[in-house]
Amino acid sequence: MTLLEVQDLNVHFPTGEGTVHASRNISFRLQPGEVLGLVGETGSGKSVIGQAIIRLLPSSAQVSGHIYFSGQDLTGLSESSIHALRGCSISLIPQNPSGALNPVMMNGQQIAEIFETQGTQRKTAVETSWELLAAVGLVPAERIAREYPHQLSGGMRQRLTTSIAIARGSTKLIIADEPTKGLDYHARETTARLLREISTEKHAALLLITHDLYLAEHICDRIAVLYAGEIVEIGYAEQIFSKPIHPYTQALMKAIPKNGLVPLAGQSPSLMALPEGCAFMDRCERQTEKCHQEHPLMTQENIDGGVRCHHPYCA
Amino acid sequence: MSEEVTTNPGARKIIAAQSTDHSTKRWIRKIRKRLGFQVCLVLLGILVIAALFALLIAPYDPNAIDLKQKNEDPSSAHIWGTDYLGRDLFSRTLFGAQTSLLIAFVTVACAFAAGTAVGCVAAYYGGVVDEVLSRCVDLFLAFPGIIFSLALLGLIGAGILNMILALTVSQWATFARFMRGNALSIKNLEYIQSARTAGLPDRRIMMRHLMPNAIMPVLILATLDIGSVILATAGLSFLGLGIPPGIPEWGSMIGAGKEFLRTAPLNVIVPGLAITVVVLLFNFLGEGLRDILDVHDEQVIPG
Repeated sequence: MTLLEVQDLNVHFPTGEGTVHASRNISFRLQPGEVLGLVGETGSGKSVIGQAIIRLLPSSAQVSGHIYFSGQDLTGLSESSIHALRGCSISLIPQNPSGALNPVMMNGQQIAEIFETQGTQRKTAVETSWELLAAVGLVPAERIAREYPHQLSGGMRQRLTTSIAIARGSTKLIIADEPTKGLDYHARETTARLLREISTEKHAALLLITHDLYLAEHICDRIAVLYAGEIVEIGYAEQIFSKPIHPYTQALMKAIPKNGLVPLAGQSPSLMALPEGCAFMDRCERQTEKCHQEHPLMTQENIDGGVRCHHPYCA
Repeated sequence: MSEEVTTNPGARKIIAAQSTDHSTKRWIRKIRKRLGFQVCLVLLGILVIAALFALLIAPYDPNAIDLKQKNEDPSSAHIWGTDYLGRDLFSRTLFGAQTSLLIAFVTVACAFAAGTAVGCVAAYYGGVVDEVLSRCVDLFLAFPGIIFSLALLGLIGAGILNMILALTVSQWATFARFMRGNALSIKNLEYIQSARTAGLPDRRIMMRHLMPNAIMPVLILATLDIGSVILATAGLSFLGLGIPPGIPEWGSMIGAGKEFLRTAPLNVIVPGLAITVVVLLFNFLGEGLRDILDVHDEQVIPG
């Protein structure tokens, strides 16, 4: 059974200067235990999708479409019902671990309080927090539990926020928002391994929001490539990396250092003034008259893959 | 100190040992550097202890009238002289400190508790809740505090408890507004969002995440406010509204002694100086605390 199905999700932010179309026509499915990567540049609407699922967008956001989680439509739920899912069935690993930790609360307490609010005895809660710290490699756990977030390195904070997110152990879906942002090579690798382990161990699906292609290649089963708020290509990770179909995905792959570090010229269009046709046409070498007039639709050849292009490279 | 660099486990231990209680030590170091603050702390300590044990320290009953020795100059028997009814001014000032400090501490504590709670709830929930609470705060701030207290005391009558009530009512709104502002600036920070994401209940988020991070500047405001509450108490008693006769209070001492300003100025000078010194000490304490707790120097603290 599909764990998460996002159907035609649109997120707009009305501003004084016009409407920002942050995410448009987003549809994808996620099976239990699967790792799906949402890959794209800054401003391609990746984080907005994660926040829309767990309903943490600012109140100014206009959201339409459907989000089915275990068959239940989240868009129709009340704030209290969705709050009951947060941290319980759906966890979010926040984007910036340094900002996401309470600076005046001890590391261990930030985990332990989750159990305390569920009525667990203080002593048991503290002991469980040590176990969780040790599980993500923060040792010696008892000492680290008594320290404050500012005493940890970036990589360690990342692991702490991860362990907070999965603390309840009942999570079915983990949304990781740029978990490797600002981390060095080594820490990235440990984070990647940790995320993969957690998803396998808990049989939880992982929605990985990232612009880190290295991370995506190493831990994702499937990848959705976003451009200007839309999914332009979705498919299995190997296929996306070895045989990309969409011109944008191709360009993205060429920009990876080991593939030659060829940057893509131009800039993505403003999310306030999107062209009528294909959003990528101005930077595309295969553009034709059709691209200017007609907005390409997602191909629905099979449920797991598809491309949004009039002239895709042949698979 | 990243775990990537530290290859041997011993190295991490050393770093952790150095940084334990880091903030407490930093405070102590900061206090050591400030001689004025230390002096201020010691003097206030002496004051509080003297007020607490006034019964033991005071050489005379503060209300013992001795008309034969009225308006006397300082002597070995009465070190600060006597007032117009021959009561020992030192004893009266000491007991007056008790009254003033009791009223000031309780008032500020009540106003602080009520204000931070209201400010925190308003900032956290926002929307209609914020709108209602904030308008309520505005209403209280629209009256000058002293007039508000005056009117209230006129209505409910004199007495220490009534005084505390009247002053709390005129003070809490300042705390509420200040707390709301601080909490608002923190409310949208990521760690409050992640506490919500972790599914923590609202009350917990407010008590453990929002409050502790927003409260420091409000605490400093509270210290500074002690001085103004002492002043307000004295002012109201001077007008004869606050403290019933029989309880020594600096304001009422000045009020009663003002008629002897020419013939026996000590009647006014002693309690006047007491008010000035104590209010100054609390203001120094507040400012010293502000420096030490490292709330940005440029930050303007109302009150």
